[in-house]
Amino acid sequence: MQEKIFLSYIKLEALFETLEETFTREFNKENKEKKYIFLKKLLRNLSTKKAMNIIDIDSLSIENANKLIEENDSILVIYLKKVQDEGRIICINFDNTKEVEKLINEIVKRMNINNE
Amino acid sequence: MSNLKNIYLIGPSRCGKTSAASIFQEKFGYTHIIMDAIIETMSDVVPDLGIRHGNLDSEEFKRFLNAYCKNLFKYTKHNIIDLEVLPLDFFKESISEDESIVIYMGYPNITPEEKMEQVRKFDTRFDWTRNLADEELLEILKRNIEISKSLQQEANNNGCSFIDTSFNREEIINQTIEQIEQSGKLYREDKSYERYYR
Repeated sequence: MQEKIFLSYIKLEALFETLEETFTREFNKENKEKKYIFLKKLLRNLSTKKAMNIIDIDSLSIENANKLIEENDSILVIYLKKVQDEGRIICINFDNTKEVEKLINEIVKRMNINNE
Repeated sequence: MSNLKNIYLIGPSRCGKTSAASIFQEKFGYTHIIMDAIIETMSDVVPDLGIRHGNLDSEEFKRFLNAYCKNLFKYTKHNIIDLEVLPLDFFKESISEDESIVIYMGYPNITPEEKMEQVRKFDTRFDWTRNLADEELLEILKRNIEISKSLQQEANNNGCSFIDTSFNREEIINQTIEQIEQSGKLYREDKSYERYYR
């Protein structure tokens, strides 16, 4: 019997806006380093949960994206636009069905590997 | 589907919150927010804010939750926020009945030993209870049973649904979700979206 996959979703910007408005200026738009640290810890905490986690991020540098992937193979970083020197980032045009299918197949492949 | 309310799903660990969230997701398209991971991250990265497990009934967490939900609801509709407790007075002060409902869950009608048997039977590699010794797990479950009883009382006081997952968990969760849907409590008046136009 196929194991059930749970999905979770986090809109990171909502979290950062909350932190900036309510508590501390450390999470303002300029402080990319603090935000990156937060994201790394969040990914680590999410990895212990039985879910496929989708984190919606407004802005992540190519350098930081590739660092994240290097440190954790099970992360997929998907940019919804083409970028140069993408490294291991997946760039897709969401209007292109073939690209979307390829992405879904990649995700399913990862899920099957993780469930072995 | 577009006029669904947000759901606050409140219950101690191992009561079936993730299972319930998954059913809401599958049937209605809800977005599940795993608050656990967010709280752990806040505790790691900004410990001075005082937001951590064991302190969720604090004024700090109430302030955070209030602000976070307001920001979140601007971006995504029909969210499930799952928590072990609601901060004191959060229900009265911050939850608007026309846009959110609170569903409580727990296992008030089981003995700690029976619950431990269930937990051990269904533990997976993702469950934090997996590596606990029996004595430690038993103590935690005793506390969670008491928490479940309090939450059941809180649900009654607030006129909210309580899903008793002491036994036949999957069946009870499915049945209660169906009842909630049929009661119409999941649906909102369209005008309640107006405040979130950006």
